[in-house]
Amino acid sequence: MDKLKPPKELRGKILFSINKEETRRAKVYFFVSITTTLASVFGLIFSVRYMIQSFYQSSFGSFISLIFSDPNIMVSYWKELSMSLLETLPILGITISLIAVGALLVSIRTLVKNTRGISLLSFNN
Amino acid sequence: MNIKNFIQSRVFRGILIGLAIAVAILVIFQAGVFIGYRKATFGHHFGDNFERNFKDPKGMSFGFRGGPAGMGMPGGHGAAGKIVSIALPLIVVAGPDNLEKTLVIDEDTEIREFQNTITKDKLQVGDFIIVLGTPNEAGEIEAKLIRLAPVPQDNL
Repeated sequence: MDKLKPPKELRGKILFSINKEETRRAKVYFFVSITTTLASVFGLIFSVRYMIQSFYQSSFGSFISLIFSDPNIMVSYWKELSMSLLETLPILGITISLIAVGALLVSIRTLVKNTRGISLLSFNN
Repeated sequence: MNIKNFIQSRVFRGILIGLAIAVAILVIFQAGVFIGYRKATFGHHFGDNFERNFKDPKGMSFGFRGGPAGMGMPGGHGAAGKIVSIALPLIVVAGPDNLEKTLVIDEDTEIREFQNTITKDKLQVGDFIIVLGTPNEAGEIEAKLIRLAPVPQDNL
């Protein structure tokens, strides 16, 4: 049986198809990354706003202002002051903000990686 | 593997880091239990004595603006807000969360305005005060320090 020889253009066509699929995938990842980053930015804005609102509503800011207004006297009342600060600390607001910051950093990292991928593929083309 | 190599190995360093993280987690957890217990104890006394603290024997209310139902657990070591009623030695303060707390003033309570110490007679309804104190079993805060402050602006 004669050996089957593939056509000469087959290699080029396969590589072209692979490159085309990689480019398409990189573009999809890039636009998803942009969307995720924008959503993270909005999420961060709202979460920080909520955290600041929680600081005011819980009177944490008022107790912190005592440290600056009467630093010498606060030494005498450090126990009551530290308990008040711990009781009024808006833990939920801080946690949500930290999660939003983490999500933004991860999405920025993914965006940069996908931007590099698209640049490399465009350069190869 | 001898002991010296083991001590200098990554496994040993990982064990130390793991122990440090475990200790930190346990300390933070214990701090949370400590704070939560004190807060829950004051909240319990606050709820039990709510009607007594906010209604006098004749049945009139001291600026009642809502009960503790649905609110977060109140802290018992301080308060910040506007004075809504004064009936010495008791003062009722309403915080930005619309929760009213009762303060008990005695001879040891230090009342300050700017850099001066003032008397309790200078306190008026509507004044914004920041209070440090200790909770008692009646759901009140025994004030140790009261500072008159300007009303904070709503920055939102």
